[in-house]
Amino acid sequence: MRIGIILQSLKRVAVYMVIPATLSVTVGCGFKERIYIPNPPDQNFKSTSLRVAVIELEDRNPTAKVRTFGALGFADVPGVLYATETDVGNPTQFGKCLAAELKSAQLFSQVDYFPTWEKMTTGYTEYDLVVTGVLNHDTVVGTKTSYGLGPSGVLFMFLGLPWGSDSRDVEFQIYAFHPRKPWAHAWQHKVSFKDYNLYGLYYGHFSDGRLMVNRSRIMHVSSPDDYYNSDYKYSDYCTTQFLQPELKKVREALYATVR
Amino acid sequence: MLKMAKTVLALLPLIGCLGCASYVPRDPAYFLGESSDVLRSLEAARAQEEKAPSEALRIYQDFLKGSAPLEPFPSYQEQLKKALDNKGKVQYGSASNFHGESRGFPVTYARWTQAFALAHQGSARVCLAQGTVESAERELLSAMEVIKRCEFCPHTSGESLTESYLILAKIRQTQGQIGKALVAQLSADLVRDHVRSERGVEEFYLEKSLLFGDVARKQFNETQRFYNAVNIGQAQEAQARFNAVATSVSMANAHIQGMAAQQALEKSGGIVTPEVQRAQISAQLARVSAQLNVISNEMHAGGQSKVEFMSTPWAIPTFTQQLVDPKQGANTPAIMKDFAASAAQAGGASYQAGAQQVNQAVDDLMPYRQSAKMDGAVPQVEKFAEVFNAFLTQVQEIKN
Repeated sequence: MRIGIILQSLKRVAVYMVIPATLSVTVGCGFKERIYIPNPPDQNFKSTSLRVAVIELEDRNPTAKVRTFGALGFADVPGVLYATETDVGNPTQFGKCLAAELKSAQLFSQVDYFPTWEKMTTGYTEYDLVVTGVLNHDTVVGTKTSYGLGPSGVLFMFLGLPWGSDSRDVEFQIYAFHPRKPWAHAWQHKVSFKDYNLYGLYYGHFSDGRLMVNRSRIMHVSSPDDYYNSDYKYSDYCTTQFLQPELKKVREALYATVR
Repeated sequence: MLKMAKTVLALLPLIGCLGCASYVPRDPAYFLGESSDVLRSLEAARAQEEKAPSEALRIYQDFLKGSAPLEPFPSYQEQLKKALDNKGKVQYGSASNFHGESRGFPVTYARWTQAFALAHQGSARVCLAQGTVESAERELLSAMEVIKRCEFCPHTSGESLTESYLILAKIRQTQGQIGKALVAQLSADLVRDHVRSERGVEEFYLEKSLLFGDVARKQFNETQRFYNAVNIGQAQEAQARFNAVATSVSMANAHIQGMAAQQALEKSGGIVTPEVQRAQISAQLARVSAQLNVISNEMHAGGQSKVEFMSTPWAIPTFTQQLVDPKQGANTPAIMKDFAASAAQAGGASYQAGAQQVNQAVDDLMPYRQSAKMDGAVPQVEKFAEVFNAFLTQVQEIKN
């Protein structure tokens, strides 16, 4: 039984150390962008002639109470039990992902995305609806636990105590208004999702046993191969698996209001 | 002894890590978050104001006592420039003390202004409910003064002023000063009319583009990158960033100045279009308005309280323009006539003549509203001002 566990652990270590190293040499780093994949269009809804402008949400992220970005490495120092890294205020461009969703829905004759408001100062009359909102928070917390390098550390690891965790807490409010009546919100909708991933020797792995670490889910990695093959240069942080159901609701609710 | 030393040595990294865990860099991103936190807590207090007024009042007052008073925006821009200049010259780790100058970003300044106005308004509402009318009046005056400091947020200012005038109307009603309540209500209606006018909508988008536009974003991002570079001791990178920041700060300044100037002239490319002519007359009217403000200020010096002056439509910067330009206020004539009718009803027979004169003066301005021609508008507005001021003085005397 004990030998089995050890062998399994060794296999996992081999998988998450050897495979990435091999792939980085053979495949090379960086050929994919992790961007939001919108829901497919729904044939039950009839398209409208409305022209929609989506403007990036206002960043209302709070201050970090404890912001120790880059501090996780301390957990590797002998004697340190754990270190926490909080990355509060990630200004994810949810507006961009929402625009992609609305475009994909094919419910509106035109959907344009603007990262800033400049275009609207002269061009607001070109649209029938403005969709924007407020990003209340996008909080990422990473923890890492070190149990020391001596026999006790090894024992704790094999007992299955956690090696660390990643969590994310997102909340944003979307609203829509007629371009000539910006003071009156015709519609609003709150989106929130949470993710928590604890990992240790026996848990927090992909289905094939590879360890799901390094904020893989936050960067919306959908499969182990994607995780190990992709580069880390770009992620829009619009985690597809969490946002798809939420944004489907958003587009349906918006359509029901304005049709 | 050796054993003790070993123990201490083993504990050192732990102590070090605890130290690093509490480290919060005071960088631009932090201050953007701080301005969000401040607004959020005051909005939450507003939401619970009816259920827990004392608690809400405590939050408002704590904020007002605990926050450095708001200075005009240019002084923060100056502080920001100086701070960046100093930080550009110093060494590793020196950028961790960003402070007051964080209000030098348009978005953070706008949020702080809004926060102060919210706190003063909230205090005024609670004080009024608790029967301390004088405190309510004082708080309200502060709210009206502070929101005007955000010259590049006309929409937010308009919304805030509307709320302030509505609270003032309630204060006056409580005091039994029906006439003054009507004047405050008139001012609320006029400001709202402007906020919802064509020009008001344009101001909404201009405000947004100033606060969340490319220039503002660039200024903020460059400053953040500069901060990061200084903080981690990348001297060359920091110098390069500093140059970018200096440019972006000047650009942001120029952008705000540009907005304050007459935009119609800019748009026309120097050609005197009817729109430009209207803008020029508008500027003239603004001067008339300013002149009337001086007269009102003299009245204020002669005994009329500041809050009395602030409650009249003459304290609304766009009032005179609204009278002759439908783009500045679609319903202004109707609002004026409604006010005259309500005041005449509340005051009795002796007020009928004044109300009729106001109606006539409003009608005399209608040709200017209906056509784009503005010749002779200024003397006509001056005539209106004379009639309206006389009526206003009379109305303010109406009591229960």
